[in-house]
Amino acid sequence: MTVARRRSLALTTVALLGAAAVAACSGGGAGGSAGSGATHQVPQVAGPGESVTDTEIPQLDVGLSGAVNTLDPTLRSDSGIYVQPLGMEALLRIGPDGELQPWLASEWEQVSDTVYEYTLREGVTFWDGTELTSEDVKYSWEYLAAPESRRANFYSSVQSIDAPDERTVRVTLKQPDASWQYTPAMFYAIVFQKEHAEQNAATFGQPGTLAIGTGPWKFDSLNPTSGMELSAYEDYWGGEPPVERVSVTFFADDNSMALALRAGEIDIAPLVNGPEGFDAAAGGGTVTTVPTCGTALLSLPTQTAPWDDVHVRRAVAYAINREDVVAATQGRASGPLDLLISPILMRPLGSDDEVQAALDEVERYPYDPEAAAAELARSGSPDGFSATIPAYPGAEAATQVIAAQLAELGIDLRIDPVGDTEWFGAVSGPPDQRPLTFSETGACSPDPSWNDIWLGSANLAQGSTNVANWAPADVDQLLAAGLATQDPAERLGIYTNLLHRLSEDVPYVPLYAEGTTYASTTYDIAGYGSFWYSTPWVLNVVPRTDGAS
Amino acid sequence: MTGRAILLMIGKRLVALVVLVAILSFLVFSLVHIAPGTAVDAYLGGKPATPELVQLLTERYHLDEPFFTQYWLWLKDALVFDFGESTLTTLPVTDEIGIRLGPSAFLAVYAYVLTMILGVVPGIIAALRQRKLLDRGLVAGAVVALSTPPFVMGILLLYLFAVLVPIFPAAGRGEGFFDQLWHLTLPALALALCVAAFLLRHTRASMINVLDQDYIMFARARGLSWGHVLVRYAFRNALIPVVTVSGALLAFFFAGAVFVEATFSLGGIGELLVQSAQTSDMPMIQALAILIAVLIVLSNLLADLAYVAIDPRIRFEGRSA
Amino acid sequence: MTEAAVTAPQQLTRRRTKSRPPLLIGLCLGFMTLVLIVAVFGAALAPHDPAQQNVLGSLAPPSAEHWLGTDGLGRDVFSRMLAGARSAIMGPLVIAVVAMICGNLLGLLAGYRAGLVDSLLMRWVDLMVAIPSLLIIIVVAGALGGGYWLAVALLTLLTIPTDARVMRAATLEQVPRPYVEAAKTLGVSNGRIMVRHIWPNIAATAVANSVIIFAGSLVAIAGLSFLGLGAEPGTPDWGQMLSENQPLLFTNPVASIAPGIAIALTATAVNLIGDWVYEKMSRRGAAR
Repeated sequence: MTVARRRSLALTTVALLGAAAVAACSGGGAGGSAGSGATHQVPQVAGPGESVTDTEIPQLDVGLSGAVNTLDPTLRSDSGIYVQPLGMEALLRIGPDGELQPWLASEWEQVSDTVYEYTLREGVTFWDGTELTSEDVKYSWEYLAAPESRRANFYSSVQSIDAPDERTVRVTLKQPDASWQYTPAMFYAIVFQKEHAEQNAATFGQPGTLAIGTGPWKFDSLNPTSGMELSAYEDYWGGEPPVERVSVTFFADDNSMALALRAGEIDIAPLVNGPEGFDAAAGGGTVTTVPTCGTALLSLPTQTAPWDDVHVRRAVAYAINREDVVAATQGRASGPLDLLISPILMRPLGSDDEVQAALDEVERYPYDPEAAAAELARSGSPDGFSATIPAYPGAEAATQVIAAQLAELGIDLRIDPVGDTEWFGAVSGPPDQRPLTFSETGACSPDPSWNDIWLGSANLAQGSTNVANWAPADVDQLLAAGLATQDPAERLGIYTNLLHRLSEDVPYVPLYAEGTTYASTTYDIAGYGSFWYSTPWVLNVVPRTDGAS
Repeated sequence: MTGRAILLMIGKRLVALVVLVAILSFLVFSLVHIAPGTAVDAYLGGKPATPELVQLLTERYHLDEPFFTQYWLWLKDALVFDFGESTLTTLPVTDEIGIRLGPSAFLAVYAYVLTMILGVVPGIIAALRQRKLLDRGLVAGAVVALSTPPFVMGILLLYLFAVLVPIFPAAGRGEGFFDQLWHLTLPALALALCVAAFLLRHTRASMINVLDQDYIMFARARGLSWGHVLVRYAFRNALIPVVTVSGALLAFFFAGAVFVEATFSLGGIGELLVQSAQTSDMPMIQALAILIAVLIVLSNLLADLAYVAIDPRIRFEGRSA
Repeated sequence: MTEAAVTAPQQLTRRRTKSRPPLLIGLCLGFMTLVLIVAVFGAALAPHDPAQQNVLGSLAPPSAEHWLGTDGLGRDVFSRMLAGARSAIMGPLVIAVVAMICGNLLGLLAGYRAGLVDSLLMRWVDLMVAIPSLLIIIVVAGALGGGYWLAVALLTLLTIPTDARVMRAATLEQVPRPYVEAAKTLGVSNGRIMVRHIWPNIAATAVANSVIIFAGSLVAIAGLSFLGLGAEPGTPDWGQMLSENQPLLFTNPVASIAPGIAIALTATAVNLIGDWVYEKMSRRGAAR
């Protein structure tokens, strides 16, 4: 166990944890789950602002692995993103099928290729009773889009944000950007009170100052080392929430959080890093895992010998047995995946049959040791070679499995354990020095363009994550074209082409669909999935009616 | 030892402390400088960022300035006790340390008390029962405990008293005095046992040495009761070396706490230290290094002063070889 | 008087104190021999390949097939214990030997010649006393990303001054003795006096001290691996197994307990041997 247990937002770990259950995750791409949580029906989410349950809950004790340092959404804050949306809300919500639904905005409209208008809901008030206006939204979004903001990259195509009247927010883009439509529904587009933020500019979000929002729970106090207290906002626009108080406790790691759940000190852990280990420590039957749109991958440095040989990369792709990698994640993965762009993200681009037909055309690299050996024999290093693979804390288990599989092919990988910082520095440093490495995305946004972060010349800049250093000109064009149109059929074609190019060149070997896991013996989270923390998720917490122990 | 000599000694030590802190801060700074990855990498956490943000952060942390300029910029603020903000969490360094200091101090004091009880008492008993079965048992136990580092002891205690017979919590640090006491018992024991074993051997040797002295025999010959002799003469003299050693215990505790905090998920100063080293969090690691150095030097000084107070015969000659 | 004559006392005493070690020390020596054999032949003695993963057979409890069960990746814990003896022993051995050579040279030089070497050494030691060396290593290894040989190198570097201090004190004790004066009078060179005359008389201290350094390094290296700053992930290592299997305490506790006990037992054996050597040495000192 390394001491520094704080997880980055991007790369929550594959903690090497054990479990009582045999780690044989189902092979299906979607819906793999662990623990007893899967055995009962979880209800769907309710309407905007409404709570799923009407059972009065005096106090909900929530556990989070990693602390909240600040509530300022533009700063790095470990677990902050999971509590910020309880008090600060977004304008829209992503519905169960990936469609947009109203939230703080009651209506929205794409006026032109580059102009979007949002109409704010009537009667939404901040905790001090003042009304939410378009000025607050403008201020919040401009704050989030400012150059020094950690979220600026999500606003890079925004030209201006205007408030033509009290209820209307108008966003003008520099050029068409199909991914923008989802941004107002995400945790990086939450709204807080302008007046409070301006008055406390220097300490906004910090423990003494906190923030003021419109959400169902008010931020009462924050202690970055122990926890956070929230209480119900009686005049919440969706009606007074049934959970009176939310008490959040921060844990140094999964293990201690599991023990707290076992001891009844917390009711629910909305995010668990190592599901099987957690479940074993928590006493069993606690975790529920659902797939997300994130894809874990092995990146191959396409411009660096010997990886610059496409036959070597194809050999690697054939040599990976995804089932074993999935098993090594101890429940984090929801199932093997051989496409970089998650099928979940392709779904909105056509009917199920259309999408399936398009994806079926993409060449895959199933586990095939003979094909791997044949590819390697055709390469410039037919007898294999040695290389180094850095592994960040938590990536060791998956990296060990990958190394063992490539060893059978004749590629001898030495695992170099590096700290998070060194790893981040390497993968986003000078492009020609970006390493062969395993990584998880840990998050995703709801558009097929999400995986662009791994691709193209724009992401070769320092601090960007084209780890494979793969930027052919035609790929740059595909990436631009994918954002330039909103026509689903056209986009389906573009992203299918991108998948073809990925299969051809193999800059990345997709490994598995990342899962997200919550743990509780008494509650469930309705609508839990990729974007669970983009809405006030405690509204979706519902007491378990069957199978509860 | 005269009052003036004591003041001189304190003065010398404080000057040495300032020099030590100056050297230490420069070494730490150089270390962070050559470490792979920068504060910006740590802050961005491998997530995509705009080039403007990268540029802004680089300027904020002065990473584009020459080496010595960067150090001077830190030093200038540190001289007026402004240690800046953590580059990772963006909170003031002093706040971050302040919040974690409480639990860590609780653990240290608890472990210290346990060390004293588990070290001194059996040490004296062993000396009085020299070469008897009890003595041999205690000495053998001490050798095993001395060879069992806190991280091994932590796992063993965790398994025995939190998993097998769950009478203590396996993780966390608790709220309020008694809850903390309950939560920190296993960590404090894991930390204390190794040092207590060391102290036991030390106390036993010192006690045996004292019991061999002529004045004990004379006291007995004068007809004083055994108990009286023990309390008046033996303990007092035997504990002098123990007091000197106890000052150095804090250093042990700091190193040991890193392991114990990891085992029991306590989230204290030790964890913060390793985390800040791994994330090139220069302001944080500087402040922690200085804090630890000051605490250790001051505790050594206190131990020396206690030594002088207990044993007035000592003529303090400054640093001895 | 010849040069041989002035070195005589040391050889005399060796004969006199030669005695058979007590049973406990015999046991310790036997145990350490076993550990050494395992460290040399580790992987060959193991019933399974210590690196062989079987993720579908992970977390098995102890059985006839897997004596200590399997870990999170389905590797045989017993085989990993055997293979782990190497990294437990090798680093500390290197540290003890290098620290002994450098520490003895520096200590002799500082004790015999005083001057610049002496004051530099003592300042170095002061720094070590002010900040515990393990803490320094944790910070440095943490910042540089860790690694087994980095840990070994750092530990060696920080052990040398403490060893040198002990040897300095021992040398200081010898310098006023008549045989040193005699050698000086005979015109023996300083270097020769230090190496050929003084060192044999403090050799016992040197050896005893090295044994203690070995025990300390064993624990320190294991601790750094425990924190993830030592052995590379995947390599079988006791300290690393201890922490990576800690979450298995509820399912296969022996996977974490066994390496812990191995560390403690080895350290105990070495410490007892060290104590015994030290005791023998001081008894000889008293006998003279």
